[in-house]
Amino acid sequence: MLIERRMLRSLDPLLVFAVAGLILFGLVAVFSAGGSSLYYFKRQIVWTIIGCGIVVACLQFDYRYFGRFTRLLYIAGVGALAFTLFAGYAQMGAQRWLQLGSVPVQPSEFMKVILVITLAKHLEQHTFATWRDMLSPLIHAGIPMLFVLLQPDLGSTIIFGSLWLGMVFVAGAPVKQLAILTGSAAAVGGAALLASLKGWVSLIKPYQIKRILVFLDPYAYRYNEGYNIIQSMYAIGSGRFFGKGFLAGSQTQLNFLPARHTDFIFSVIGEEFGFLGALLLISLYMLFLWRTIRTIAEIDSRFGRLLIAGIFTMFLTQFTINVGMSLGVMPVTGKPLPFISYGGSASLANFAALGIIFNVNMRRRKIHFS
Amino acid sequence: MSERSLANRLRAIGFLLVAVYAVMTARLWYLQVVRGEHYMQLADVNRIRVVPIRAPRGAIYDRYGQPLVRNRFSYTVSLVPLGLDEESKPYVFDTLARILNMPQEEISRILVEESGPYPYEPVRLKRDATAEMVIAIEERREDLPGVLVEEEWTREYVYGEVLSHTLGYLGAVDKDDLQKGYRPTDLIGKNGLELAYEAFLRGEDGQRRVEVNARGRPIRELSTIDPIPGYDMYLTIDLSVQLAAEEAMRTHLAQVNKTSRYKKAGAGAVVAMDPRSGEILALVSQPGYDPNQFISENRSAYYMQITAHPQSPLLNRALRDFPPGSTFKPFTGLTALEADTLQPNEYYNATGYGKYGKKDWTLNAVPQQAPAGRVTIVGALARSANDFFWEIALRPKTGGVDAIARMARSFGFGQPTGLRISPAEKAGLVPDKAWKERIYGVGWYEAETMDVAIGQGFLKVTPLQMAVAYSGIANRGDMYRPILVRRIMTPERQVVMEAASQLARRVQVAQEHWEVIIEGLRAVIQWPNGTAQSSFRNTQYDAAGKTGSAQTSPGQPAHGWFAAMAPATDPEIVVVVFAEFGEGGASAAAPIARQVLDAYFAAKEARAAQNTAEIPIPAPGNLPHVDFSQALRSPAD
Repeated sequence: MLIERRMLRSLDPLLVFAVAGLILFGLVAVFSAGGSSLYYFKRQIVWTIIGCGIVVACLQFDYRYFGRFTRLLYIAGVGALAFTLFAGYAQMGAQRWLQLGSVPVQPSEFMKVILVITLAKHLEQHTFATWRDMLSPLIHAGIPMLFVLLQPDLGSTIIFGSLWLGMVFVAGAPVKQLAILTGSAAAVGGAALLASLKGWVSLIKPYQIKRILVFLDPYAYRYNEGYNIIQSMYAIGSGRFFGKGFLAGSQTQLNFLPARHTDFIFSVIGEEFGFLGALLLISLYMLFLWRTIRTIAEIDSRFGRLLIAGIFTMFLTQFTINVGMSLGVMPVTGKPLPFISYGGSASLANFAALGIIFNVNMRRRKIHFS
Repeated sequence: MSERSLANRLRAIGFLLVAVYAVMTARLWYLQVVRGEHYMQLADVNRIRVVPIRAPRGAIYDRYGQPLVRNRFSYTVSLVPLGLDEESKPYVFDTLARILNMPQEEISRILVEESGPYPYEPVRLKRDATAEMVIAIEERREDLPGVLVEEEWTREYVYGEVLSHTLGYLGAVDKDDLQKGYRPTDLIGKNGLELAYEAFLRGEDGQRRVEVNARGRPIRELSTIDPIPGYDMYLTIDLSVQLAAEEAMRTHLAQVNKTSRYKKAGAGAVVAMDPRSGEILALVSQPGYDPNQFISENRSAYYMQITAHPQSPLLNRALRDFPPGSTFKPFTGLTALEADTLQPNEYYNATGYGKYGKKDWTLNAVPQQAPAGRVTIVGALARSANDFFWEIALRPKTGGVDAIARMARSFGFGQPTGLRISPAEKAGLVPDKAWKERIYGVGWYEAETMDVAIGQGFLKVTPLQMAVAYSGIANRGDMYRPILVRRIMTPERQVVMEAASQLARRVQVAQEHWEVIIEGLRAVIQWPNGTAQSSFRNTQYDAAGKTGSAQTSPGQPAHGWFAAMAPATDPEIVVVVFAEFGEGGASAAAPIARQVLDAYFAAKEARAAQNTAEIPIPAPGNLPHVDFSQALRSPAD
């Protein structure tokens, strides 16, 4: 038995509680979103079981063990990304998927976790003294980011970027440098957006520009691109304080809310469980994130801290993007809500990340009176 | 990196977490609590469709319950733009074109021109689709997405041109109507009683609230509000009298069209009234039009046809003003009698010649009549002796044109009668010295008094005013406001409004003056040389009346008038016939009046024999005297 009971008992109960709560919430939501069909619900159960298996698998060995294979992981991950770009197939207008036998896979999802591990290892020994010290981490993350950007998958690019930022921040990079870097990245991004809007350069694809425009004024695109956001807000808003009741959300059940089992799963919760339900969900998430980041203070290993930092940022970003989209405060990016949305490879990657969190968390300093 | 610095950074991350939490919660609060109601409504709009159920419009009946205007149930084929998609469109258009017998371009055009801002509001392709068409469409329902067959009410004017001006017609709503709550596809009264009583006839549409899914397909019915049908109206019109009047006028006009040299001849009006109550028994204006055409498919073509017609069928001649001619003479007579410048049994030698002022005037009647000779007012009326009336009008103590004008106005000339109808009746014109001064800036000439005395000159009256005024003579003074609508009832026969006679005016005239005038009117018909004698041989009733031939412009034929009442002792019906450019009153108008009176009394006898009357004629004097205008205030006022 590689897992010592001591370590299991060290696992933060609140953290486990939060995660369990999220997963259960997700099952309930997917059940409702499926409407009269159990198709999604049944598959979600399967994914959950597999995911739990992954978590358990991740717990089997000390996380420091991961550190040994970083180079391999990195090459495999980037290689898969490159392969996807050239040989994968497109869906939803983006070249994101690989077919592994009968299972479609999104390599970018796994790359997220891989990047956390490899970057954590990289930064473990890294110190930030001058500007030049920024360079290697940048390149490290930059290459996969570029591949993802070329798919194009702006959402994942942003997740990668913020993930990098979080890890570098916790690694001790000078705040001023980070601020300048972020600022200039935003400026470049904004300039590219403006240039594409005006039509001078087509760096940003038309549909991505459309997403920004639609975000700014969804009602102008009421019957096509703005439809999703508007329906989502209708659904959430009409849930009011107590919600319409489980399985009684009209926007959900009557097919008004699109992609409700994936991207807009939060809207389902908002409509059926109201403010109370949605607040509960957000609170569970916050609890989860809080207990995760708290782990950093309780472990000594720099590697472990960086792993946590990366995964924390990853989850925080995904959460913010998805819920923000459902609430209408962020543009539509098509990213699912971890542990709640119905999901395939994305959810597997999330469970793997979860496994890492548990792994590290299990091994934190805790005073026992045994 | 130091532990403390790490702690700071972690704290910063902690703040970030709290900030995100706060923003999300605040936004959630905003959407769900602050704007929750609003989104609830929007969500409902999303999923609940309100399908209107059209209320059937009220029907219109004559006084005995004979239907004049009713609704016919029909099918309408429409397209719902939202239901059409590019793939199926060609097939749908092609199939519809074949089934409905319409060219595809027409279907496309209608769809483009008439679809509004709502993609789920149906666009009407064909009203009044046949049963075969409907069956053909319903059979292929699965293959024809976006095609909708609806049941609709179509207005039917049972007798076509009969009573057309009075009944009016329906047309499409305009922008102002939309403000009042009509829908763009509604039809609204545009003319006649349909317009004047729109608020009563319209009813209230119901609605079916249906829950639909995102594809617009109804899933279940949530609630239904039944429509409130429009109220039914029972008119004062007696259909048998109306039809007789229409037939008589039509025959006459056909005759005129054959013989008259004048292009515009061949139009006319008839007004038949019950003087005791003001109820209008018949109202004819010809040529008329068929209101059914205005809601049919070729309405624009019909409209162009009608407006191009030389005699303007859209005009309601009963409400338009014309010179009255000799039918005005009784009023001149009354003026002189009341002024005491003429005695009831005073004789005057009507030689046909007179010397007035510097010139010699010759009797100028068409056709030329033999001078009346030595007559009293009775004979003067019987023979319609112009010079008699010139004489009495010019006697200084009579009071000249102002006195005649006063008498005329007391009988209601020169102002609208107050009949509730659309378009509004003309007020006519009663000239006097002040009026001429005002309009022409010059003084009044004696010769003009002579004109007015015999119903010419500036004087202008409508056939309706004439009927009301003669009712005043018939009643010996009392004149009731004319009414067309007797009763308004709900379809369940609950009375919403009951007509009440309203005394409009009372003329004070000495009893013997009334009698002598009426005797004169009787003489017109009963004396061997009375001007209308030939038309009234062998009547079953005792009638009285007056012919009139009103001069128009040189070169144009005169208008023919005849005003009658029967029975003379206690009249229960007054008939005024106006034949525009019809030449003589005796030749053109009197025979028509005879036929109308015949029809009235025949119908009366028939009803008494059968003892049938769904809605009984009120006994004279039994009608409550209520302020009619108050009783009839409708929401539209």
